[in-house]
Amino acid sequence: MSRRPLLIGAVVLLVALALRVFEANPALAQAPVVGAWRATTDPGLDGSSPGWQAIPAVMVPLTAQQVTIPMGGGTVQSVAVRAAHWNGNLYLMMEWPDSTQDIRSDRPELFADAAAVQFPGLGGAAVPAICMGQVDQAVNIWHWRSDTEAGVSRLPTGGYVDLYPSEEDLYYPARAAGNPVAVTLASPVQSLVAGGFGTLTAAAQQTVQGHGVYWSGRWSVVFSRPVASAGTLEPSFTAGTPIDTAFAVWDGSQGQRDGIKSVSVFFQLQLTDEVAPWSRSAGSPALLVAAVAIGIGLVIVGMLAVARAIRRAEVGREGR
Amino acid sequence: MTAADPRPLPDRWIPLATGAVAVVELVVLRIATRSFVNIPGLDRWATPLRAVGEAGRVSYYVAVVLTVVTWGWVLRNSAATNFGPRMLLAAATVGFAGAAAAYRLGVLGGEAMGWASLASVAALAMVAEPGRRRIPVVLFGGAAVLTGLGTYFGASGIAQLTLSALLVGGEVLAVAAGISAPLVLGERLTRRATGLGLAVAFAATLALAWRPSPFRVLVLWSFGMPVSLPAWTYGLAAGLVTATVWQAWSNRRWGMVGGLLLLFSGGVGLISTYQSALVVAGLAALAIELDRPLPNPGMLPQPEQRSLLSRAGTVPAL
Repeated sequence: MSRRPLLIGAVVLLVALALRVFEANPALAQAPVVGAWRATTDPGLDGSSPGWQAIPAVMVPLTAQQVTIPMGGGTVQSVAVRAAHWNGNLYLMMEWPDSTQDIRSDRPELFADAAAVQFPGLGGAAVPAICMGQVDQAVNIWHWRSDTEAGVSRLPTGGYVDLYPSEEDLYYPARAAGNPVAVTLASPVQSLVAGGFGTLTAAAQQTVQGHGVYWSGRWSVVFSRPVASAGTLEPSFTAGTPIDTAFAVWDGSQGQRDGIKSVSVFFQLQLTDEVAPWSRSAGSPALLVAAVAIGIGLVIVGMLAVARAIRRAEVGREGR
Repeated sequence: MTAADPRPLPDRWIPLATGAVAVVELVVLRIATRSFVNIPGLDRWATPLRAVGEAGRVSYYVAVVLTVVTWGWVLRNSAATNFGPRMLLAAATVGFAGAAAAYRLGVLGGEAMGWASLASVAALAMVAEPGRRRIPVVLFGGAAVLTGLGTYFGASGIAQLTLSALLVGGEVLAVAAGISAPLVLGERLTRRATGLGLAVAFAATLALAWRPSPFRVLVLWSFGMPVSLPAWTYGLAAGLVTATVWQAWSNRRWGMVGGLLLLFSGGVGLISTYQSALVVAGLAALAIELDRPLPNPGMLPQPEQRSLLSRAGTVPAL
């Protein structure tokens, strides 16, 4: 047997192991990039502010969650994403049209509007599964809820609630046990980690701030967190190093909650030191599709014509 | 070497090995580690699962390096094709490799990388010798181009209807490519291959129809398709691809087996430079294979001959 395959195989294995050891992944995701531009002043958490609106948005298409039960959603067709960083903090804004402001969830039939951003829990060699990650690659999810933003203290009209006069933990076992839903949240955004379906849980450190504004028939929700990681399953954000990012939106008036939501595929988020906003002109959708189709068609036809002409010439030469 | 040269191409084990390792990566890293999470009592299995995940990750890196080696094999063997296809093969392969490297280094933007992937895949799908054997390759290339258009340019604000049409169109072409896969053989399926294909088709249809949710997840992760067609179409495609690979393997057409495995593991999503690279390598390997004359059935090694060679301690060169 020739030694050549063994030699090539050994070299391949050595190079592969070196890449693995140094985590030098030669491949990258190919989805479009969301640029986080350097801000010269605090962008703030009000997405309706002129400063935020001046940043060009990347339009992220959403679709119904069709992977695991309960499936559904898809009523929000796209979300505009803007990002910036300032003073060691990353700011990410999601904006989508919504004809109803659903901020109450105090009845069984009421569901609140919500939004979420998902990152890989660690800078990994491969992109984790988009649906709650996988066993060896956790994901970190920032979950904003409009009812949390509005405050959970309001009671249903005409409803009765048992309240104990004492504020001791004895009468509030969920709070005493550290149930993240029972404790008073400092932010309407909860940081969660997951390593697959059914494993979603609150992150040990809650360092994500956020604020949602409903204005002109749309939600503008801003998330903010220090770029340095706060926990083992929360990513750090570094300028020049892209990170995979996915988005989800729930429309409460459509009965959306849990897995019934509109979701995106993974996009890339990249912090940059550039101040100037990145203009990403979308152009006319129909025009774009037509241009792409015509361009590809022309390239293929041209290449085929050249190949056939050359082949004919070769056949002619051989015939002579 | 010319297109009429019946001698086997040198180092045909390279695309075969790349396809095999990519399938291992697909099964272990992309499917198994994502499925094991549903095992009850996960904590008890954490250590073996980590080991399986690590094995999958190593196979990923091996597949990445082997894919680069396969590109070299493609360039070397593109001389076995006619001049026009040779130029296209070389241009598409080198163009994609250069674009992927520039993209990794941050020199090239995401949209340019998307265009480079689409152009390479479209060119490689059309480069094989015209004829019925090319049909599955063209269909697969069309599926990848349509799905890639949806992936790369969906973010530019194209209408939801257009995006859905692109993705569903890509899925229809991908399933059609699978169903027409036996055409690449240039011969009828044998009884054994047909039987194996029917068994796989039945099992896949049953799995998709019986437990649609988890198997939809696997199809989406593995092949970039959201499973919007009836279950039997995927089952049929899976069965016919299996039968085709089996028969190509039986006929020792390693380049073809490698090309089919590379396309199978790459999928139509083109969602990362790794998966796009697998598709580019697979299309190129198939283009080279399809440009060569069909083997003379009388020259195929018979089982008795192979056993004699093995008994003599000689392993047939790949």
